[in-house]
Amino acid sequence: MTVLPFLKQIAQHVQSKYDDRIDEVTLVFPNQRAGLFFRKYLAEELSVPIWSPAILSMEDFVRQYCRLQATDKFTLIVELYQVYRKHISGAESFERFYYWGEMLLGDFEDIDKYLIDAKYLFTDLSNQKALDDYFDYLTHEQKKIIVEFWSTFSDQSSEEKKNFQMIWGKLYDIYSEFTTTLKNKNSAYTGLVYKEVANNLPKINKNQPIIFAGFNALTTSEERIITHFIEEGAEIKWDVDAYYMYDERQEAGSFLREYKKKKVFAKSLEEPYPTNIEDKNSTPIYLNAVAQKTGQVKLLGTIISEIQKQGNFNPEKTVIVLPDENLLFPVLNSLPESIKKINVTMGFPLVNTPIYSLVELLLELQQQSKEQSKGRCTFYYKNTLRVFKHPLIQQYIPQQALANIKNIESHNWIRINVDQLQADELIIPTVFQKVENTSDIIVYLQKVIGLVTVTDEVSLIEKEYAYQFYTQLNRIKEVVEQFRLDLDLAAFIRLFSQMMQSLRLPFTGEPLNGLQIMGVLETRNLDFENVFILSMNEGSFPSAGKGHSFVPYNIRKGYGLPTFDQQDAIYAYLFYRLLHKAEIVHLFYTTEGGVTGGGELSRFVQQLKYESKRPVELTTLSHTIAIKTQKPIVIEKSESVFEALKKYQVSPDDASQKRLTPSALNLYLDCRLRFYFRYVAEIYEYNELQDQIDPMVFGNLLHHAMENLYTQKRNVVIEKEDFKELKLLIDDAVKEAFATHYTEDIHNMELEGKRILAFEVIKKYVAQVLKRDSDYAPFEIVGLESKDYTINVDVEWGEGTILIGLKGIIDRIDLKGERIRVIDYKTGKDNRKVESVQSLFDRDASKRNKAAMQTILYSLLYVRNNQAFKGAVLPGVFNTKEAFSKKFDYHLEIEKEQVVNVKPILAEFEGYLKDLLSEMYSPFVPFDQTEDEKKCENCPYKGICGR
Amino acid sequence: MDNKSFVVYRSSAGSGKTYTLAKEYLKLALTRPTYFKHILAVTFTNKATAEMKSRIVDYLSIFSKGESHSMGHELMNELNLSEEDFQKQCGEVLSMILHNYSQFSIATIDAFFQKVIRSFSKEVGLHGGFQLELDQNEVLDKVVDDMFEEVGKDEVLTKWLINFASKKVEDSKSWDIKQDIVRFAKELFSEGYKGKEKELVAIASDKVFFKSFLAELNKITSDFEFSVKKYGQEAFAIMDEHELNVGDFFRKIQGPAGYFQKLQNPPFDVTKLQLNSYQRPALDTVEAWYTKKSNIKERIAAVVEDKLMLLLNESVQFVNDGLRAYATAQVAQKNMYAFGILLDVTSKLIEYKEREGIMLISDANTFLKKIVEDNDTPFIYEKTGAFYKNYLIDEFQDTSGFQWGNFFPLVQNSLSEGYKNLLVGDVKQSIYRWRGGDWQLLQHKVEDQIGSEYADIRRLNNNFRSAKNVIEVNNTLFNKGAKLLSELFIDKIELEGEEKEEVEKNALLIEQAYEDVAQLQPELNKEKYEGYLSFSFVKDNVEEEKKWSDIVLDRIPLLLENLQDRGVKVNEIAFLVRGGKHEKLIADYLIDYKNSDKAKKGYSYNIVSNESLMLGASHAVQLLIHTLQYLNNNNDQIALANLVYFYQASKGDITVPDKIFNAHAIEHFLPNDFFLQQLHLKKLPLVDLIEMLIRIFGLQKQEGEYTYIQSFQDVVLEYGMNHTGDTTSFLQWWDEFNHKQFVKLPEQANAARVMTIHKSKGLQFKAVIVPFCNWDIDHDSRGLKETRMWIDSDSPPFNAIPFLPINYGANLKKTEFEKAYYNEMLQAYMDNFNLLYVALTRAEDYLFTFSGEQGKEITCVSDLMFEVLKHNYKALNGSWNEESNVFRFGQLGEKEEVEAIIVKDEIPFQYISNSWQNKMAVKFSSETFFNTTADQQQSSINYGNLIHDLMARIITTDQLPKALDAMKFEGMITEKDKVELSSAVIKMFKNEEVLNWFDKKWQVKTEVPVLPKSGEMYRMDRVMISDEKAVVVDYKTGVPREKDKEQVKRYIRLLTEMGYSQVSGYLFYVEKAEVVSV
Ligand code: SF4
Repeated sequence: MTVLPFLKQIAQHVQSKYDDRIDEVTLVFPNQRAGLFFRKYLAEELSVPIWSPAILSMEDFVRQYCRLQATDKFTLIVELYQVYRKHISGAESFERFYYWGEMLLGDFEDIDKYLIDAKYLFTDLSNQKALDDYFDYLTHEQKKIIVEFWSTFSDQSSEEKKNFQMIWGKLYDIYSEFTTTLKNKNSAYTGLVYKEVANNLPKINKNQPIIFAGFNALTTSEERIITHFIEEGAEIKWDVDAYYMYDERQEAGSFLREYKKKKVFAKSLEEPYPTNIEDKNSTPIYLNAVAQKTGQVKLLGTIISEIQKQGNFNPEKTVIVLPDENLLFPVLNSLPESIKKINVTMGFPLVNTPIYSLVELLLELQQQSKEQSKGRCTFYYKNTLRVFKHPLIQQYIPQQALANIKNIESHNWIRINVDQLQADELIIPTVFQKVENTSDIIVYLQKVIGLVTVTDEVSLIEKEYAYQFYTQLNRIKEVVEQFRLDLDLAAFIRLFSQMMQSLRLPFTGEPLNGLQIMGVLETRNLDFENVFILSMNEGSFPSAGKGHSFVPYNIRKGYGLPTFDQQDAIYAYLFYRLLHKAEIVHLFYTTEGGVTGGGELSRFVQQLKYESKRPVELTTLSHTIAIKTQKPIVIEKSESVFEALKKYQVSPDDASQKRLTPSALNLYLDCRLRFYFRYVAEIYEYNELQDQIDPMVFGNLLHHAMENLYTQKRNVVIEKEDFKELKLLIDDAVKEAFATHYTEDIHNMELEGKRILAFEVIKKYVAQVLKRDSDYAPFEIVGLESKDYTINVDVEWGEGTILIGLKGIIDRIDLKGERIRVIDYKTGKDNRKVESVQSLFDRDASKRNKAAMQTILYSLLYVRNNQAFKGAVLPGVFNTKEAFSKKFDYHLEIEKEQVVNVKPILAEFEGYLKDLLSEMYSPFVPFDQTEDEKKCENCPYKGICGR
Repeated sequence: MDNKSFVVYRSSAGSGKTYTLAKEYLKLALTRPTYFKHILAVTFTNKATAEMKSRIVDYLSIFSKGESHSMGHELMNELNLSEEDFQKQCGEVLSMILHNYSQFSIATIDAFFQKVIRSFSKEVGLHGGFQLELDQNEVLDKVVDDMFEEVGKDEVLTKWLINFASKKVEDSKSWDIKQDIVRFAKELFSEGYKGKEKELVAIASDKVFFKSFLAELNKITSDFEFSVKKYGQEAFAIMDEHELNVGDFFRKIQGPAGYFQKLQNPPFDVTKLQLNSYQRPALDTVEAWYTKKSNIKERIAAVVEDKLMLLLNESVQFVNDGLRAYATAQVAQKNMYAFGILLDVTSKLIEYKEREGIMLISDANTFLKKIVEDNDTPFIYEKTGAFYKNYLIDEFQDTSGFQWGNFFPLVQNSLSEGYKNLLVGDVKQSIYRWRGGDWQLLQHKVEDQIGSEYADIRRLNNNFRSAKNVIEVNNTLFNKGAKLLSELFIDKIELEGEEKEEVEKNALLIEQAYEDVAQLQPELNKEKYEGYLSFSFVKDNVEEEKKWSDIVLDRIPLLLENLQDRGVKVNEIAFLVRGGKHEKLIADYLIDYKNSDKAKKGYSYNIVSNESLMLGASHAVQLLIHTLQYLNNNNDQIALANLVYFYQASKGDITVPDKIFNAHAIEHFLPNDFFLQQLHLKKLPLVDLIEMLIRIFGLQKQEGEYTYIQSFQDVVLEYGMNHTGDTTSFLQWWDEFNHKQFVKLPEQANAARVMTIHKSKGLQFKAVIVPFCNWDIDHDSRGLKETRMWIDSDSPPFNAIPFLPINYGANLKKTEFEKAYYNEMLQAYMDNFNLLYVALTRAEDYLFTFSGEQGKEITCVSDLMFEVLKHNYKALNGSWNEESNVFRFGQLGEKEEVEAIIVKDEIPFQYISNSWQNKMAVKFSSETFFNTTADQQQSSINYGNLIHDLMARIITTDQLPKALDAMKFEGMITEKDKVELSSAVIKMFKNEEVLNWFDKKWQVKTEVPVLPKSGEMYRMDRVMISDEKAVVVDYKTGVPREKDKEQVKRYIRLLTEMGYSQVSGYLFYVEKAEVVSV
């Protein structure tokens, strides 16, 4: 590199000018980062070790001269709130004020940094024409702007205007009381410190060398302070380029051009300016257009590794600039293997860290916990499970976490008491306790954070996040206690999340080696040979910036407060400065925005493209898309498959073996592959614990309720009168069904939310069935949810035959006179019409009646197991729709004939059944996918099939 | 001053609307270098915004370089500038824009409105930091959940919900009502609802009123049903008495006796309660009651004459009298429970927004309305900090009434000051009514409102886009089609007299909208290729059981080949479809085709579609998702099976599928690393986890998947920015919203586009194929999708609630809501016809449509096309193939030799993914902050380290308090810690030796680095210097170790090297306040 980095130039300057007393020099840079690099450059110039000169950021430098101690934002906002509340009647609650507090504080910062007289600023001029007398220090143009603003108040007066005037009128009082309070406590916000120093310029020792370096935009107070020091002998060094200095249009040079006009600075901004940017007019700037953010990052990796291959790549002289801080981790993951050291200097949003997600979960857990009567409380399963599944908890107590998850899920616990948890000594009792007031919440969070990050397994980065949270929480706690802020949990959460939004974890890469990754601001004063800037999009670079202020635009302008124009100009300088010494420049931007915009190329690149002589070479990244299609899945009956299929083989007279159920057969008819997955490969569906009740659970609850209701009455004749009593039992029967399902104590069970709905709806249905039953009475219940019915069917197998076991759980069997009814309760869309017996086994029939198939199979089970019974066996379907309709009927209709006795059709039915099983066991029929994609809709395996 | 400063451009497809807008913009902007700051151009989408901006900048750049351009010449003339001045002016404006880019105001309506609202948020009482929530459905989902929490607490609500749920169970539907409510609740965001929100919320809070309203409706229906049923029963009683049954009468169930039977079965279908043609004569003719051959004629005649005929007349009379009220009550009842629940959702939604500090995008208009209504324009500008003089609004036909209402005062203000304003739009391309777009604004309302003294209506008649033949056919098609459509509408009206006329008049709107449809081809295009169109009306193939749509699919690849033969590049072809379903159909078909042996060499069958290329379509993404599911829940066997399957699929070899589904042998089918790392994986944050999985599964080698994986990673990243970033929540979110996640592609991809017609608006393609050109003219007639109307009735008792949700359907013809019904029908006709217009006007040279054969009636748009073309193809000089039902026009282009397309990657792209954990150098403040042993639970902070830190901040003893304060402000310590630390330090000062170090006589350096000539930098905790003498102290925590001394010795050497002759060194162990001399 022919041109030295700016800081290197300063180092050489210091070395040659102050040779033997370098340690007496004070260097002031805009930020800390520059100092680090400067030190490195300086060390390179030395022959013996020396004490480092004092190196300060501007802020630290100014602070030295002030007795006030700048305090943290939260304290300031609370302090401000105390004042605000006094002046504004009906002020909002603190957590709602917070945002305004931040904004007001920002305005006060600006007012003081720019040495504006708040008294003149916060004057209501709507009724005064005396502007001239007041503001003789304003220019004519400024006055015009201000007059124009206030003139809009003269016409009608809207509610909004009144509100504005009301607050505006009080702001000066608030400001002055606020600053006085702070000063009395020896504390301040930064602006106040600057103002104090600027207004009481310190006496200085003329012999002490001071060098200011690398500044661009100075606030009025900074300018006054620096001017003072320069007048007393200090030096100032600028880092500029002719490209934007000579071109009046370039906002990058707008401040510097102004300084050039000032006497104190003129000499230090000596012409001719270096022409580094234009000197490289033959070197192109590479612009990479990529559709996705991640694409940018991956392309970056590719390009770096390409450059590396060409040999002249020095990671130490390379910077990756991340205007969008969220890309940090994607970038870290996407650098070539050969990059061994990475140095990160930037703020990373705390809200995007795992610790924060845990904190959020904890707060939600608390928020949705419920106080039980005995001062104990229960936690909601969703939150509880999420806590146990959180990486940090998994890390800390992997065993207990798993055990608890399993327990909760297998018991269907919706609300969980800490006693029900398998606890370790520390974390579980800590997490699962109810906290109420603000300090307790903070201590609670701190404890958990401390605990989970204590282990060695937690990476240093995560410990760093934890540290930040811990310290932030300490601050909050202190302030909350000091000012006796009383926030309930909900308010605390609102406040906390607002506070966290703006917090950044300040990564500082130290010691200095390896490739640098930086935020935009951190690159100030630094020069690199290889510069890679991601997210060159409007909104990222320059950043959209909040720029919120209570002071309207024109008023800001009129009084000389900074507006977004200045902000944009600062970014412009930062951008062009990066080009000063860079040899290789790669810019990346995304072409596809999201819903909120994006996808617009940064103005700076456009400026380069349309104005500079440097070629901008555009490359668009696109990949060929070769998406694979799902191939049909066919499972041939290989030996291992046959082996698995044999699990349903039974020996005669043994009822205890694995058997196929009617649902299995129905499933086989629907889709052979699905049957294979479920009954052969035994890949089971995982039933997620839900507080909403899906149709299956709904059906189960209903069955159990019916069962509960009738168990007492089993094997006795139920008369019409009995229903009066039975009706009174409905509530308990349904309750019991719920209690069993959710493994809860029936007496303490509290239903809530949607479960109440299910409860009520089931009750209604049960009552309806009872009504139907009472019409039918007297009858006798001879079986309820009977599992004891099995039959064996012989099926061809190789040369001989084997026995395949079938079984079924029959919802209900009742007897009236010489008639047995085999009854199935249905909640779905089932109907009772059957085209023909054969149609029950016809998988292509679009409306194959599964319920009928099932009920007839049940009837078959019953008949075969009760050969002695000579009466009629009637298969019946009670379905919800019909139970409520006026024409209640439960008979199956086959070929339009009511089935009043199943026996005549059993032979035919069994024939088809045998065929079906033979097919299932036939080596020539593989397990394949159904052709009717409608059947896939509710299939749990549709992911695999791609349907 | 030109009075007609309000210019409305009514454009048509391809008429250079954007060109015109850009030109008008520039014309204004070029008046003064900084004038652009006073122009607000409003576009419809963010994409359009970005495009418009870059267009303006491009034009300026071209003009400033003096390059020849038609717009440049026009502008130069219109602005009366010399070439030199023009060039200079363009250059100046360009650089002004580039350097004041924040004031380059081309924005979407929403973006502009947001800006205004933000600047007023304090005054209108909004939460200052409100977040704008774009995903309203996600919010709705949560709010409905919140509402369910109320079950059991709010009695009325509970009852409604139970009723609602029971009703569903009784209808054999799934009992779960959440989705129904969520679906219904989407109405909350519609403008119609918003307009009445306040009143409705008031009603909602008055549960008694609502209940009584319901009761009133119920009474109307049940009274009617009861009485009507009685007529039926009476008739049957009479028939019974005379031993007659329905079968004995004329036409049995369809005859007069059947009518009585019908009366007995409420609830009634009101469209079927009229007498049919067999029954009508029975009112006055006895013979009409029996068949001629009946052998019990006499008996029947007797009873009829005696009783039944009279009864029939009475009942018909009764039915006719009460039918309208009944029908109305019936449709109003239908949504009543849902409506009641909805009102509860409304109040929950308000709570939710307040709690979360969010504002929904649909609320913006309401807030703005208040601001704009209350305040004069200058004040709004002052608060907003933007000072516009001119408004240029694009796509005005899709602007909603609310939006315009909010713009109007601003525009009015501008007009009154004599500034120019501009609207551009095309009523015929209005297809966003479902989002609130109101085309009648453009059609006439705005003009009426602004007044003809301002309004200057202009038309753009040229079509710069399409070839001659395309223009000609479309001219005829839409001109004649519009007439046909309005006739069709008039035919449907079943009203009489004045009312009929009133509704009929509306039909004119269609014709008005299309009166200027005929376009000209501009001179400069006349030399070009004339274009080719083919509209096929395909018959089903009954023999092969093939639906026409299957036949169309089979033709598509051939069409693609054919077009490529003519030199059309594949990325110049677009398939336009109605919805996502069809997109997927085509995408799937072509992908299959491409992979089959039918695909021909040298042709491309590639397609891209922003909509149908869902992330979930990728095997790699599936693999990642299922892995997350499995990691999140090891018991999820299906996730595991999926994981294995997609892993194997991603490697491309599923030779033995049965084995991989063997739950017990899974290990063999997954990379070993996966099992080894499983525990570690569960501990990773999402972003890192995904990267790690990519490495483990080798996805970085799957080139075809890059785009998907990248897009998926973007999704994960963005999710983490807006949500709690744990895996469980991510998966839940993914479950619900994955269908909305699409691959982001750059435009230049070498593939044909498949997109919805809605998305194609504003675009053009060399060849357009509309494969399923057969959508209905009316709202979905199969009733698959309910269309809800909000009706403001004026007849009691229905007007008690200002706004009733009513389902669109033919039964409304019989109700009080009939006019609203016809209005909605007309709108639907327009929507669907406009959609056809948009679809058929995208093409430059080639246009192909396919649809089914025409049915008996004209029900879908292709029927309209068929009708028009059938009668006009001759006049058009087109050809009609009777055999295959195809209309053709023009000549296909010449066959061209196709060059093989070689796409070369500029850089050989690699999907780099590496672990970073050991590479990162960062200075950690936390390193020693937390105790590494778990037993000191009470304070997790290590005091030793705090003291260390504290000492570094103190030069002399008196600095202790300030240092402690600073640490407190930084949050490192609490007030309590402060006291403890302070006393600990004071205790240390008791040690003479130590106290001496803090004496003022020393020159002290704490943690001042020493710069050695090379190598590592040293930072000594504390060095005290006095002339030649130097004392170095190093603070230590924990137990003394040998290497501590080593370190101090190194310091002593360093200090000696620096030139100090008397150097001594100490170790100071802070916990025990022990000093060790080295
Ligand atoms: S998705 Fe369809 S084909 Fe696949 S197993 Fe399920 S039902 Fe069968």
